[in-house]
Amino acid sequence: MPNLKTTALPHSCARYGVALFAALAWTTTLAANLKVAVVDLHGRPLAEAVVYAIPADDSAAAAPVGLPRVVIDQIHRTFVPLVTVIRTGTEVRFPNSDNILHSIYSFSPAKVFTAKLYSGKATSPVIFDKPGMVVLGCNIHDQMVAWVVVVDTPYFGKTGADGAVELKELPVGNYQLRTWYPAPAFEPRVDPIHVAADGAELRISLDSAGSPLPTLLGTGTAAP
Amino acid sequence: MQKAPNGLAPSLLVLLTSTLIMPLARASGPDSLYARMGGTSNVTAVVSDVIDEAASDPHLKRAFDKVNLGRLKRLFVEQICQLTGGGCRYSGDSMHDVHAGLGITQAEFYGLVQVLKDSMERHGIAIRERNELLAILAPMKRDIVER
Repeated sequence: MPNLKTTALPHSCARYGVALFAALAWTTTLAANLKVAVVDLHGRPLAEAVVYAIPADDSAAAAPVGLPRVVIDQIHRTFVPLVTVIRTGTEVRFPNSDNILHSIYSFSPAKVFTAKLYSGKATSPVIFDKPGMVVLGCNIHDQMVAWVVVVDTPYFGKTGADGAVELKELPVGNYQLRTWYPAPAFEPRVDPIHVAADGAELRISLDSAGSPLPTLLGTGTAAP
Repeated sequence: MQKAPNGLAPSLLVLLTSTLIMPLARASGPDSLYARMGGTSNVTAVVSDVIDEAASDPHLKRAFDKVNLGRLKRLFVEQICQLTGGGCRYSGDSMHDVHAGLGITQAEFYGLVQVLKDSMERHGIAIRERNELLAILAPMKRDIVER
């Protein structure tokens, strides 16, 4: 992992001992935040990168409760947002602010569906019931593209314009941290990490070459 | 009919009067309008030009922004084929659904009709067949024009 630079990962023996003692005392309550900065190979922040932490011990992840209502809109013949990360089982609505016909689809194995978004008619939400990467398109407007990253963990987020994201309330312990970026053939990158009681910070460098992101984001914001 | 832009009234008259010969247009097989227009190859060429020209015309391109033109051409050919006895089955959405929300104006509608007329003429379709097709397509105006 040549590009992974971790800071403030407290795994010295002394601190580990303290953390272990604390973990034994308050196993269910001890949680900390994980700050991740995602940058490209030149150190520039990468927006729209998805970061999620899978507990090494599967049982540590709480069962999904009260999944949020998620919306992917269609504005100026562009999906908004371009990248969405959700937990498995989440319902996504496609409200179609364009108010013209869109014919959206996914052929991704994690969720195959088609939906006609008619002008002025609400469409049933789509439930993403399997983890995986889903690419959305529109038959009518072939430049439209969006990604839905469906994850089996409650600890996930997406980087903002500053390339930063904070995953909150992770129980202290070991995780597989996965980072994904919307570039062609980009496979989620995996980094084993430890989250201690006082939290953790990571900086992750990705090769973002070939990403259509700048163009797409430009199209989305420049439309009248 | 509401007011048409100057110079378009005569063509509108042609559209209306030519509805009288519609039954012939519905024939299928070698006598079909589809066959008389040159069949799939010529209709495809006409439609391809119409869409390309409309999508680059400053007055018409608005509605074609970011539209998958290849798919649109395929469906337009399919629709004409079905309506003119070519034996196809149109697999697209209703004219109302595909135009709803686009705010197509009368001027845009007649602008596209003109592009279609010119393209048909350029591809050697005779006046009789041109008018037959326009007569078939004319009633769609009520589902297409919003303002």
